[in-house]
Amino acid sequence: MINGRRHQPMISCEDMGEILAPYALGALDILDRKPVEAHIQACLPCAQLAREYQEIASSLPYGVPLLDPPADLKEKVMGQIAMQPQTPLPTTPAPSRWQRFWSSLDALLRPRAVGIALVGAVAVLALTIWVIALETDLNSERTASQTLAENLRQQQQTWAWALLPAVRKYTLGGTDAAPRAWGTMLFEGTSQQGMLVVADMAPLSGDKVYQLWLVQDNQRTSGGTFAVDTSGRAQLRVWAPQPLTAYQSMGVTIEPVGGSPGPTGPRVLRGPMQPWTGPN
Amino acid sequence: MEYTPLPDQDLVARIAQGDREALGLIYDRYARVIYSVSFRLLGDRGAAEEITQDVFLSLWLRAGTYQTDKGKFSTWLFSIAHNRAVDALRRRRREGTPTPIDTPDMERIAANGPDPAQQSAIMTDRRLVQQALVKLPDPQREVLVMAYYQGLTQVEIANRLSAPLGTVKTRMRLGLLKLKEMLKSINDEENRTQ
Repeated sequence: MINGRRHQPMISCEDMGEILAPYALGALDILDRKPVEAHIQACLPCAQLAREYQEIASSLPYGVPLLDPPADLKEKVMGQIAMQPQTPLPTTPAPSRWQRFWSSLDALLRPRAVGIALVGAVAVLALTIWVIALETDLNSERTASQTLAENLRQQQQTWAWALLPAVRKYTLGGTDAAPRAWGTMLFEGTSQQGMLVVADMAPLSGDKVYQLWLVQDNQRTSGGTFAVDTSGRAQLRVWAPQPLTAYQSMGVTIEPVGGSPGPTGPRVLRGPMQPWTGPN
Repeated sequence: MEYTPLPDQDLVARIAQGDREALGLIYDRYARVIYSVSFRLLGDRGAAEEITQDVFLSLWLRAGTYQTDKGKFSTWLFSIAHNRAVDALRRRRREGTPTPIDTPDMERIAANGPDPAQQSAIMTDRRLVQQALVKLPDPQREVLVMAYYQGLTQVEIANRLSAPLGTVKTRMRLGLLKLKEMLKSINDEENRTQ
């Protein structure tokens, strides 16, 4: 996604029970994996079930005829990682600080009374907590940078997909309420799933969201809510109850957080469900 | 330090610290399987090589995100590898790129691999999995093979079999559970006869 918050439909635990086997077998497409992974992150029982299926599926690689990789592949891998420096976690960050502190504390306390030793113990405890917190911070920073790299990779994949000729591209234009705004709906064939990419939209206050509406015979169906980033961009994964080609038009309005059952706020984007013909 | 007997999770912890030797050992343990699965899915050596390289680079960069309490390391690694390979395969299909078919001259197992004990374990696992797959009911084996070894999505499988999507999902679930049962049963039987 393009830094905007993406609001994905929730999958119930009951639905997860059905979908975890296909997930473990790699039988979900790349976009369908995301809501499953989001659910697993938040739901311990489903995460446990997912692990069980994945453990079983992980025996399947052993079922194929085994081939030797090229002899020089290991060299290539090792050469490649040599050019990709990690930000290594310190092997034993706590002991070095601990040892330095302990040495000075030991020298200080050795000849003194037990009471002073107790004060020292409290100091040691406080220092240990500080060191653990420091280490946690380092881990968090490292994880954040890895997550960023992974997000970038996923963005590249999304855009690679969006540029394929088979992907339909329907355009939305800004209304008087947001004349500079624009958007594109992308989807394949008669899929019920698509992706809305928007830009040049105003960031909203915390109690408002943008909501996509899919219009069929004057009936409006919500396509999901989203917020844009500070540069006015966002990307929304859309699941429609019918193939997206069944809708005649679409629009985006401003609604209270959580979305509305029908449009209530000003419309900022609108467009017919007609193929995009390229830039003017 | 003698690294070879170290379990996967210890080696991964070392990789997360920037230890290249540990990565080399994990490569020796799993590269062959990852390369073979990628080849099975993509049908050409160049692509299989690319996926294998990509997986180990990813491991190098993401080793710190592996959590031992969230499952076996090999499950985590194979899941990354399989997802990369099926994504590449589906990209090709969308682009209409034909899948090249490199026919392997023969199954080549390095008898003197870097870790003979590991190679022997891989061969044992392979035999067990093949026996278990053969014993699965046909409809369950069929969906497992189409999904895992052919990289088809559940929807594509349903279309090809002209079966409802729900039926395909159920067969996958039952197939995995049966596979687990079969693997345990074959393993127990072999242990009894040894």
